[in-house]
Amino acid sequence: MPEREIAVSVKDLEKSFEGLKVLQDIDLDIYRGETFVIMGGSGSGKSTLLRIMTGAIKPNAGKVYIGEKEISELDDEEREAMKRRFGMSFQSAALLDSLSVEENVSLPLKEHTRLTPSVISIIAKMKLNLVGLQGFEHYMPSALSGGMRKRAGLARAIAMDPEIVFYDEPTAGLDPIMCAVIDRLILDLTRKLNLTSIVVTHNMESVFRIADRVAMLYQGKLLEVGTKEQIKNSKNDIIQQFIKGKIEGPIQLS
Amino acid sequence: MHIFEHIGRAVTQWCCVFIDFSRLCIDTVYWGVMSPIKKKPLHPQIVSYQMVFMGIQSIIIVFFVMFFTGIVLAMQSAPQLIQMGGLIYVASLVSISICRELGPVLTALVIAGRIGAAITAEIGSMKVNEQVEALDTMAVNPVRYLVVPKLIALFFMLPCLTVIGDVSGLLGGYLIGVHNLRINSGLYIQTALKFLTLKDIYTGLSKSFVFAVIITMVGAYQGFKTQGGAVGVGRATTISVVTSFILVIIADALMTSIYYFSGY
Ligand SMILES: Nc1ncnc2c1ncn2[C@@H]1O[C@H](COP(=O)(O)OP(=O)(O)OP(=O)(O)O)[C@@H](O)[C@H]1O
Ligand SMILES: [Mg+2]
Repeated sequence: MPEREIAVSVKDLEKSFEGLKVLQDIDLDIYRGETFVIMGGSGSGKSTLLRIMTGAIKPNAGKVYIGEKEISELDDEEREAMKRRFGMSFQSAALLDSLSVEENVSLPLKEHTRLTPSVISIIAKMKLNLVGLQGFEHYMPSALSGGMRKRAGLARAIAMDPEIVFYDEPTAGLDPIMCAVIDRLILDLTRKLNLTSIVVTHNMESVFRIADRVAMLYQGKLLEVGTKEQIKNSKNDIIQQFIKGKIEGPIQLS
Repeated sequence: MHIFEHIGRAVTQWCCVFIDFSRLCIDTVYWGVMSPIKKKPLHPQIVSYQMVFMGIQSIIIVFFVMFFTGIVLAMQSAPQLIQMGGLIYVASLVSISICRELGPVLTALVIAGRIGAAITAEIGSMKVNEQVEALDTMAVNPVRYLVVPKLIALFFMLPCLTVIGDVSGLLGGYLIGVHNLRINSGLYIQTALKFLTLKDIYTGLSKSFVFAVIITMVGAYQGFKTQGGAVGVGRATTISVVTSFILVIIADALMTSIYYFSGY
């Protein structure tokens, strides 16, 4: 197989909060055009890892490369240009309370493009259609359900047609059908537009539906990275316990 | 040993606060100036929304506070002035103290309570709900989006509110002077204006520009510093209002002494 182009690469990453190590020894290569799933227990540092990759927080040690460039070495202009190539769907949706759903989705377009308001409105409606939120354009975020908010956040994440999309638990809190719709959307975007999708999830169904490769994070360390078949047939007891959701096993809930 | 450790820690903490605060101010000025140059929108619709919220909707409260201040000033100074046989000077006492001092300062304090708190609560809750981070991830600079429009709006609205406050205070004094102290209406107005120079008005107004900057920047700083959920937002809001109050009074004292010693 020819050497694949790397979209995001993480080297020797370490992060601690107030002396408590949350991530350590993280080495990861994510290829262009793949759907990469990060799974792991609650509090294992998945969101933190995503945040570091998007440059929202700085690691204590280690490097993050986006393409060829290391993100801490970028100047302001380059950093901004880089952020425009990203989309991020937050675990908490993080919609701006003061803006309606449509205004939320159009915000990046208004800020970064010279499109006319009517074109922006059409694009925003299109993106909202993709996540099944047609008809809710004028709702305020506070008037939406949790799952709807999450989907609106997802629409905003893909508003600018980014090259790399980070999804933090995109299907948490959604019903099974909506989960399937979102999974399909992620797949479609990845396949058709050749995006790179980096998805954090603990929904096993989703994992095996969308993933090209999977990484398992456990207590701040990467346990294993591999294709979904490799993970499914992993010899590691922790991974087996996690994907089967058993109470007995090496993962102790204490 | 212990004492030095405490002092050292406090000093470093204050230095950090000072550096962070200065950085926020520099960022705000930078984005305020650079946005038009870099062809980024300055969000005129947010500015106008904020102007309505900060300005128009504060008129009533500013009116009441200053109106009653004018009344109280007139009532309290009248007995002394009567004893000295100069009842008519109630007019000039009220007009000068309102325009030079009480108008700008009380208006600023009212606005610090109303707007400073609102700024901190808004930015603070956005901070704890990851919305600030979301803005940043969308390459929308939070300072440019959240602080600059507010600063522009308050910078223009606070002086306007101060003028409204001044007029309300003068009106309060006038009502007491004419209806209660039975000073002739024309004479009251004449005396009030005779001692009131243009200088009194613009030294007062110049203060309110500075107060506007203090209220916005302290509010924004505390907002961005907010941590720890809803409790944190409440705490940050309290700190913001208290800090604004103190800084407004200190800035007032400083500016008054500058005008005083430079012969104004
Ligand atoms: N800002 C912060 N300050 C202090 N500790 C933090 C902070 N953010 C995260 N942590 C800690 O880092 C650890 C990992 O958090 P993270 O949010 O990355 O978990 P997660 O894997 O996303 O969990 P979940 O699946 O529940 O979302 C947690 O123990 C958390 O307490
Ligand atoms: Mg998380």
